[in-house]
Amino acid sequence: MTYLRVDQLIHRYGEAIAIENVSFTVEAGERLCLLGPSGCGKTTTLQAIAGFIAPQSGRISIAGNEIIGLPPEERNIGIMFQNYALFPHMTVFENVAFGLRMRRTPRAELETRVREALKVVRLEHKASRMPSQLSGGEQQRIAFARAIVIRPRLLLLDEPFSNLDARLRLTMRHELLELLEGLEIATLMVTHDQEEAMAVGDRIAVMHAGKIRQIGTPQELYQRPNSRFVGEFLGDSNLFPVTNIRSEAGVTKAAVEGLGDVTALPVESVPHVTPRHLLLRPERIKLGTAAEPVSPDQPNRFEGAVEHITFLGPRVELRIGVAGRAIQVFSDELPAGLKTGSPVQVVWPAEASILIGDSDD
Amino acid sequence: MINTLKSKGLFAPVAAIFMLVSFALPVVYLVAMSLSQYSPTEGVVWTVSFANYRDTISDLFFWEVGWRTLRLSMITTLACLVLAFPVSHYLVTARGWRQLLVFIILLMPLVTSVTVMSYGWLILLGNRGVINSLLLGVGILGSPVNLMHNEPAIVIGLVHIFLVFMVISIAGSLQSINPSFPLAARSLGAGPVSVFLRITLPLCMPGIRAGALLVFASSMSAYAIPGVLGGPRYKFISTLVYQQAISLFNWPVSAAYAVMLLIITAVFVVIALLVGKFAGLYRRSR
Amino acid sequence: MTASRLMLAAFVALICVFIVAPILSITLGAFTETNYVVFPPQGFTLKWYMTAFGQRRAMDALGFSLGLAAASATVATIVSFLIANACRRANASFYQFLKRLALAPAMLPAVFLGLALLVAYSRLHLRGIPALFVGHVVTAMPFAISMVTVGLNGLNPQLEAAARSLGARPRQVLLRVTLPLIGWSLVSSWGFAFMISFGALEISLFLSSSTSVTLPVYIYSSLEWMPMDPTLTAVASGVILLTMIVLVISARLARLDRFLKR
Repeated sequence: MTYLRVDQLIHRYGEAIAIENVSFTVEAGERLCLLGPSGCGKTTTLQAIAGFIAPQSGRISIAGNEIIGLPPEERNIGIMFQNYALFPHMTVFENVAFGLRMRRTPRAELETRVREALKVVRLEHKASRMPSQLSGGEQQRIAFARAIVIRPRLLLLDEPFSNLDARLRLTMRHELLELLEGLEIATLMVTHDQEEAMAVGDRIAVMHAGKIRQIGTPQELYQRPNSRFVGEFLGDSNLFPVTNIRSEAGVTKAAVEGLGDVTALPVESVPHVTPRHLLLRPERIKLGTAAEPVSPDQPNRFEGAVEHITFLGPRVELRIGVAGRAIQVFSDELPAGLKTGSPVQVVWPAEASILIGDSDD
Repeated sequence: MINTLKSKGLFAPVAAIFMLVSFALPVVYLVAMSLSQYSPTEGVVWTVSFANYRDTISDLFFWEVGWRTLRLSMITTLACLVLAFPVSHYLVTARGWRQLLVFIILLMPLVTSVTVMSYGWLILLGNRGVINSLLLGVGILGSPVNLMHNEPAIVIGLVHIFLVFMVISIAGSLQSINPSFPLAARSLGAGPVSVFLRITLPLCMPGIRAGALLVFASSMSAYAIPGVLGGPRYKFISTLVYQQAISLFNWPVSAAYAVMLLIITAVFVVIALLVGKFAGLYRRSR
Repeated sequence: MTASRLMLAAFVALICVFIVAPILSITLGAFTETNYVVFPPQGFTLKWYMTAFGQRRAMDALGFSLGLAAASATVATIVSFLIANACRRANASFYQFLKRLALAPAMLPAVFLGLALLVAYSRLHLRGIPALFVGHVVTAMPFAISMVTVGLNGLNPQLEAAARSLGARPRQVLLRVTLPLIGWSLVSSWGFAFMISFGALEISLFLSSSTSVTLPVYIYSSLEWMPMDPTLTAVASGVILLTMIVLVISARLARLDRFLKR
């Protein structure tokens, strides 16, 4: 059932529009990520849902109940803040108990529930410590315990991993996913890190300049971006301007200057959007040489030469010059003896060519 | 993350009312008073006239006092500036308890009653004071030297109290200078003096400006220090304000003097700021 | 330590001696056996302090100043907190203006303020202690509000947001999160306001009457006709001692040195 419904949210700071017609839903037990660069409006949306700002128009409802107008303390939403925001002058126990204390939970029940929550995050033995005595990971777990002990209907995560270094980020993410596993709470996470969004989110809403550009599963967004912005924001991409898009014998073709005709996916006609670019993911391109040709049945094959090779461990990144363009290729299987200057053939299937419109459409 | 916390909504307006009643309104009232007249028989006669101001501006004695106030305030500001730089540098680079100690010492003259400070100088500089007694006792002097009741004594007293303003302002600026800058300059061949003149000093300008403003304004307003250390011959404008109001009951003229003090201070601050901007512009265009 | 560091330290030490000199001369001068202040003090006696305790006028002034300073500091701190806290909200331009207004007395001549309150409150027939009290609060406000602002700036706003999201109403946020975390700045602010009010002269000169003599006024008028009197010196020395105690406590609480750490 739809837990959180956000409808046509609009908010302005003075003259500047922060979010415009933002709408989405989150089901019970679902994790939705708001993803976008800084300034895209994702934090504003979060603040509106939490109740810290009052949007100029739009509706927000949880489990069918309208919550706009309700002050934050009455919304019963669990929030995990960017820096955890643990009260430094209270013990771990008092931190976790805070929400229950505000609800005047009777002493016995309060103790039981706090201990339970601490047990879930495996930190019961640190109940009487101060937050400053905990490691970053432990602080995150306490912040989590504090947020869920009040049995919220919705959990909001505000860029929970943004100020951690790369390695710690990964560990924390796995821990959080583990913790979220058992719960059936609707979860909304805000982040600018697309890898994080794809790892955590069941669905992702990509935001840009105050609007939601596309909502879908990570796979949908990655393989069928609806705009240049979404395509370029998620993962690496090659982008070619195209002209003369047409259908020939049931096959969609587009002309790329220098390359000639490229076979592409049919364009889903989205009103008001004129496809102007072709998006091609680097990992979908296969390389072949005269000695080791590849995939004879692929419609897109072009001749080029290797310009640059970078060995990155799990994969190799190459820059191939084709008809005056530099094409980025990721590969883990390479023809033998490939080096700078070697002639090479780039090959990719029709489904890898995605025709999309401009960023601002 | 918070923007509107709507807390204490009720009590904040109380603060506003308080500020209004205790500060804003009396000041307005004072300016109005300065436009009135005083007669010994009737007390304050309410009018709107600039007579007080006209009289003040054409009063040579007022300008003598005013010029002294200005002159000594500028000297004090300059002295504080020169003395503060080394102290500020020490303060931002000192370790541990030294920093707090020096800070507390510098603060003491400011927060301790000015009467006590003036008294201290009296004991030190007076004819029967410490320095004179010492020098007489040791035989360097035949008779006591007049160390007090002159203008240098006033400057000493003012610098003593207000040095801490300048130190704090400059220390703030010094501290915000990225430590890589002087290092970069040295690596490019600049000697310590060059680094100071070309990197440190320009980057400290905000602190210098703020500190100078504070010291200058506070010196212009001084009352007790010129009173005790300068004596009746070396008055400041504040002395005149007090005399007119309390000894002569002439509130309108006193008010005019007080407003003039404010205007003169403000004018000089503006002039200094403009000169500073102009000098900066000139440098940039070279 | 390098040579240049040594020279710098020596210079700073010299400045400190300069600063401390008048303070020292009063403190030590009150111990002299002689009937007038002499330096170095001859002998060592506490009799002048005893005499000072016996002087009714001095003790009355001391008591009055203590009470006035405590009351002024309390009001100044409360009003400062209200203004500084209100400045943290969005759309706080009015309160930002109020804050600048509260800081203004630091740069205005004390005689200006004293005269303004004198004439204004005479009109309202509120001369005497009400005017004096208001004058002291206004004089102390710039220091109080600076300190409170520093404390509030150091407060992580997410903490208050977290408390609200967990169900705390604004009043509870204030009592359970905000005040406990900035308490040190409030105490320190009170301390500075106390010292400023306790030592304020010009304001009191304008607004005192025969029944409301503050200690600085007492000392200042005594300077006119009995300078170098050891009893007066003892009184002044007492002021120094009290101020020093409050200063050290307030400075430590505020960890003033912290703000100058790189």
